[in-house]
Amino acid sequence: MSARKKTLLKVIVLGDLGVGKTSLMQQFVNKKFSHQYKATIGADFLTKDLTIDNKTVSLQIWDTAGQERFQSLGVAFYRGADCCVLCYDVTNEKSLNNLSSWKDEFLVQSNVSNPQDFPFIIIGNKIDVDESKKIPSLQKKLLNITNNQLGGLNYPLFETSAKDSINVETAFENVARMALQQEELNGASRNDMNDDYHDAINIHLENDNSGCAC
Amino acid sequence: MCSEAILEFEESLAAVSSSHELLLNNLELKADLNRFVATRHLDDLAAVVEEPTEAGLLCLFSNYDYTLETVATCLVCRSQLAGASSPCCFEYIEQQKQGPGSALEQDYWTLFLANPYKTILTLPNYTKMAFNQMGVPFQLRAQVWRKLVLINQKNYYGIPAEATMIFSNFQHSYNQQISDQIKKDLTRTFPDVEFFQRQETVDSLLTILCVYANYDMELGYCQGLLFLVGTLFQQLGNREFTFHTMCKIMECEPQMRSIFVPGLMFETLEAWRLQFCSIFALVDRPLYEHLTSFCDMSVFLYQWWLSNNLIHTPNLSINSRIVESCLTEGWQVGNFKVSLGLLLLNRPILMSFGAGDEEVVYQHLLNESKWGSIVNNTTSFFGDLLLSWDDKLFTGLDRNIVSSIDNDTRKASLTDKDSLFSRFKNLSIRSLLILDSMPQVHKLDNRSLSSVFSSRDNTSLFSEATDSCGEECNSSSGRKGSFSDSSYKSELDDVILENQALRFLLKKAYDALEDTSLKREIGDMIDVS
Repeated sequence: MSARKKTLLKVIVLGDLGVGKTSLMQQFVNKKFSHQYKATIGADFLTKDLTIDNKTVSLQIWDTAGQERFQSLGVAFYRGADCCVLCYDVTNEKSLNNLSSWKDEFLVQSNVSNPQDFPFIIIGNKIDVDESKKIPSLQKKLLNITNNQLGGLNYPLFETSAKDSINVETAFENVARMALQQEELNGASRNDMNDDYHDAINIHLENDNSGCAC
Repeated sequence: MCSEAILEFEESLAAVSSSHELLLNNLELKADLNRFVATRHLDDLAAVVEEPTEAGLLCLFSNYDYTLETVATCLVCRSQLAGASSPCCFEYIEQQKQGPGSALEQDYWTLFLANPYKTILTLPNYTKMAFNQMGVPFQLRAQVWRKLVLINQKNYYGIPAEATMIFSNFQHSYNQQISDQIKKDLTRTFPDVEFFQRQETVDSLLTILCVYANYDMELGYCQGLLFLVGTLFQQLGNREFTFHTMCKIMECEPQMRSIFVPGLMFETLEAWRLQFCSIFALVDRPLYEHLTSFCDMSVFLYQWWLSNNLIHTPNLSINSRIVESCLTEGWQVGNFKVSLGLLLLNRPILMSFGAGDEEVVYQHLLNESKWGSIVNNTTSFFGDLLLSWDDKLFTGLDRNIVSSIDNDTRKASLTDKDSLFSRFKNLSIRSLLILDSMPQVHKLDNRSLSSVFSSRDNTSLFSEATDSCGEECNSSSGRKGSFSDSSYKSELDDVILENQALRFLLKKAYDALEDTSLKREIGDMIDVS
């Protein structure tokens, strides 16, 4: 097992312009915050290794441009994603309302195999700002968005501050866990065609023709 | 007008250098677009020498305020000249005050400032060398850029009245959503450059971008534009003129505009990528095959082009060099050349990685590290590498793009009435503006249409025809004789074909129009029956 390559998990971070996608990624990977990030054009990414349930994974986090028109470029960047992080800014109601369109667009562009249960996670960023600047009755609006069973965003939700490093680590650990599950699921279906990829981990997925690779 | 020495040098360059087709094509394209531009004599830009002489040129160097220079850096220590404190910087400034490096350069820039159109036409080889190898002296940059944008045969270089008019007319009722987006981006244009943190700069960029979004509703605001507008504004230092420059760039090269337009962005970038890859494969097949075997080129190419390669550069002098390359040979060509240059520059690194290393390669190419040590040797990159390819590789790019986009527009026009409508609304604004200044309605209208849809050859030919039946011909240009009869005829055929296509499009637009007065106007122009 030791010689085996780490599992690579690809995560896409989406959300409106200026909600703090780059800052979240920088805080998580490089443990720093700055007001100095350039606007992201196209996409950029950072990678961080972490251990999830005794397994070392490499989390490749793709930071995308927040302007709506760049969504059309998603085809190039979303390919092979294992988890998608939908971000909003707790002071910007529009960014909250746009979450579902980011999700829909992601599913259209990424062409994932399991759109019904593809792992999404929601992050509300900038909780460090003054209470008075936050979206009024945020909790109620959030419930409306997440609990709506018809096409709702019934996903794990984290409120973070990339600036003060609140909850960022926890949020991304969850991202990694969900991405890992998705990867194993995909890995299992790939295994049907590709025998090289067998792995002790997915034995529990009832995969009858999975022989032992060793 | 030229000294013997510079003409002799030009001749010797002509013997060794490759073609200069791109430079001259771009010159004609712009001169043609600027043909009808009226001028405003009262000029609010400082330090514009109307009839520059050698002495005047030297004054520009000696009177230049080096303490405000935030782009150019000391040749030795690479720190910026504003706030210079070490002896090497002072020495460099003293040396700069003496004027351009050689008598030839001095000659060239004097000629250029006196009549850029003629100078480029007479000295194309030297021009390529002056811009790419030596680089425009930073003391002259603002003026040189301004002249390149406004270049015309009549040698008028005031800010056109129409630009001022549009700028003030569209300077109101900004779209709230768009201006909010712009505001979020403003302070993160070049966050580590002091100039871009000043309130005045932020306000100016906001105004320019908001006015542009109002003016070009279909494009609106696109995040990548900020790097372009920022770089332009820092040199040009004038809101109106920066705005005018934006308009000219987009008008000159519709394909450059399309990469920022929602709905056209993806198709255009894909078309660019395919064209780029075919050039790349011709220039360096092994590298091309190696890179595409494990990387998706769009991951970095999209970022490069949407920011005009201006986003992650080592410093702003590099940005100026990129803009100069684009201002002389065209924006798509400039983008392609810089991108190709960057890939070749990184050849050893790229070849040393392979399947499984995508991440490292992307990281490298998406960020500043790809520029390597170019800062210390801009000449080898912009001069030697970018000039080493034959112009033929890059000619005809816009023709292909325009026809593919045109097809898309046609497709869209069947389904999307709104987008079609806004397209024509834009056109009518442009043609009305030109109408103001010139009486030849019919011809002008054709011309403004062709500037949006057609490729450059046709446009320039068209206006040439207009010109020859018009008033004073600038007969000194010498390019007229270069058209042989047969090529003239085949180009004329192209124009006729194109006119038919445009009529067809207009007719289609006519059917979709709801605005009755505009409909009547169009109806009068094309025979609707």
